[in-house]
Amino acid sequence: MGEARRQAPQTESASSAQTRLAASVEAGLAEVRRALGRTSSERPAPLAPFVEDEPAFSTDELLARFIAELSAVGAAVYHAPTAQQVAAHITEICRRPLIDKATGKAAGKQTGAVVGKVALSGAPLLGELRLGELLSAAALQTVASAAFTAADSDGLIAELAECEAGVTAVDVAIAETGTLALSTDEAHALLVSLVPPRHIAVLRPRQLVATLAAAIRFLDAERMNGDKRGGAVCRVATFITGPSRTSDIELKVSIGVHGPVQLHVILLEDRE
Amino acid sequence: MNTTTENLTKRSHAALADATLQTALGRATGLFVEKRREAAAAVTNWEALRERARQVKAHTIEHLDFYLEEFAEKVTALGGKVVYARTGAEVCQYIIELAKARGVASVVKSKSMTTEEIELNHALEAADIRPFETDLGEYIIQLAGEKPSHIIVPAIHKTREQVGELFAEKLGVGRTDDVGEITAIARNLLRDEFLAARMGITGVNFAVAETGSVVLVENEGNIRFSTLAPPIHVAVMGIEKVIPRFEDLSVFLRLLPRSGTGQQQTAYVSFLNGPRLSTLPGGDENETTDNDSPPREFHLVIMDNGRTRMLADDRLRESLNCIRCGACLNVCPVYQKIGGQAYGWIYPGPIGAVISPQLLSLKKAGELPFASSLCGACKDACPVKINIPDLLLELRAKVKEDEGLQADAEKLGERLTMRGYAWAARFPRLFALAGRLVRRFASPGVEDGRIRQAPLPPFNQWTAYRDLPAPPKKAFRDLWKEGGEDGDG
Repeated sequence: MGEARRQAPQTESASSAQTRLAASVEAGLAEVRRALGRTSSERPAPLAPFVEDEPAFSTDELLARFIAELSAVGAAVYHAPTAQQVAAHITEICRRPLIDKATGKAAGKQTGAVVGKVALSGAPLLGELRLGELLSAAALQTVASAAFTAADSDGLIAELAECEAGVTAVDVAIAETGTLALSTDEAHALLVSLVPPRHIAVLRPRQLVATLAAAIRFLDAERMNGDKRGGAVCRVATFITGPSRTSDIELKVSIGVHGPVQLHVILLEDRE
Repeated sequence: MNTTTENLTKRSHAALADATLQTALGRATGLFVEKRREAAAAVTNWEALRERARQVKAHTIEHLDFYLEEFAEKVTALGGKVVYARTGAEVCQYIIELAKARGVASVVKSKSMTTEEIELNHALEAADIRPFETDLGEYIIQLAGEKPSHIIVPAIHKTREQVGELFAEKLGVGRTDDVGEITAIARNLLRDEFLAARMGITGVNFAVAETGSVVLVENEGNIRFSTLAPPIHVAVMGIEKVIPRFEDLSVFLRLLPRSGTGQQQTAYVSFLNGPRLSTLPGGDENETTDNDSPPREFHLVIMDNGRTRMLADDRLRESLNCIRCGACLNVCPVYQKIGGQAYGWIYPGPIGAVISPQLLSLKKAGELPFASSLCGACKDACPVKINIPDLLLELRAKVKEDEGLQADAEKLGERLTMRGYAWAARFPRLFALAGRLVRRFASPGVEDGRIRQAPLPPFNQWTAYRDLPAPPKKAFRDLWKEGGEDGDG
């Protein structure tokens, strides 16, 4: 073993490795059965479903609650009637300096007249808004994460580390907790929303659901659809609630640990 | 395994005398209790959620054989590699062999009680693989070479000055007491490690049998980095982390953050279904990766390490329902005063007192179930309604039955007293006489209706920590004979 073996694990001494591992799981399961006093396992009758009251809310009510919760967790909220306004907000966010407390320097790279780089995920919404063009017009260099193959994750991360912000859309957002739900159906959205010091999410009010329970059902349905499409299962999904934080030292809240220091949410109104 | 749960009394006294620790514990537990209470009160069907969670966990543990198998099959079908390890040593061995085979020099780790339980870091270091704890609290105690004092905030026993001093000493950075600066220093240092490490190791909060999903909750973003940046992700889980269906997550993901930190939701919740693809969604699965990019791998290590033993005992099996939220620690009057390190092992507080004797042994951790007033605050706080007081009583009975402990000379006095009492209680007249003698001789020691200092053992051991009530002028049996209070009651 060693450097020479760079094959995918499926081909590495295929049959013996697989059989050996499978044997350990079989042996383990036999121990679990023994502990429960059984010799074979049968599917138990499932529990009755959990029934809860889920009142319906209007989009306005959901929006009001969502905005309140976002503010409570320290996310900044913006309204944008047009794509131009979205780009203007993004530009303004990136222009505000973000100082690294350890070094005293500005986060991201700022050189000369170019304010900096902004990463855009491959979300269709961002393409529809033509954000790439609009931001370039505002002297921001854009990095399209979709241009990176999934295999070149290291290259993408290196590029993202130099960006002022990562912009993504969302799949669904939860009003009751101010939570954004992202999945890999947006190529690389998860790294775009993690590596740069600012995460900017763009969504429409109609993407709101009221509760966590509703969002879980959405994710489950998405996964099921993936299974039906023949394998394009949603591989990784993330719920994001506010910027990264810790209170590990004396319980004093410190914002901006390993994830982004700032979370900005732009609500794209499609009326008015 | 080097454990130190003996001499709990000694360590408790040391903890009580440590003024800094007392302040830190008081502040931490007080705040968490308040926030948990507020968060629970804001959920109108909180009790219904708790009962549902209890029900789901009880059902799953009763059928753990089925659900664990379903989970392992689903993960395998998604392209993940599943291994079952009977002991902690087997877990460490698997990870080390994998790391060596893939040329991994350093790993990034997220906070995982399971990996602390098996001392994985120690094993990795011995094999020349550098582990980096990435949760800030764990990073701090790793630098300090200490054990965690709390499940959720492991470095809560340290002041900001102590942390600043530690960073200056171990990392060669400028000394600072500012929490924001300290955090930023750790962020920058660990960012380099996330990008250099070829393997990320995490625990598992929930393992969904129906879908093969691994769910992880956090606030810092270190789990996201550890699972997204390095090409290999290894997740270690105890057998009990399984829940049956994806929809069950909507119950547990509401209970866990509110119970642990009083948050409505943690900053990040990750849902992982097998290894990440090496191609874009919709891309060609046969697209070859170039030589510099290793393929993505997901390894799931299911660990027993004493849990099947717990499972086999139908009265103690409920211990496996725990979701490791830490709520019981924060409300426990014992934990609030002595902190986590005094318990001597990885799992402190009420749940620690229940699982440590089972995972270690009654001999090593048998004193823990006795370190409780059975007030039941833990049972009320537990989001999955584990009946911790009942489990503590069950363990106490087991400890007393254990042959090894009966041979202990220190317990001879207790044994003789109990035997003497049991014998005297068989003879009513003897019992009555004994009662009269106790009332006669105890009366002089009474002050303000209490006995503060009993002169003779074993009573003096009791009064070292508690007062006894003054004995009554007349025994109940005498009052009864005289007709007592109102005959009609």
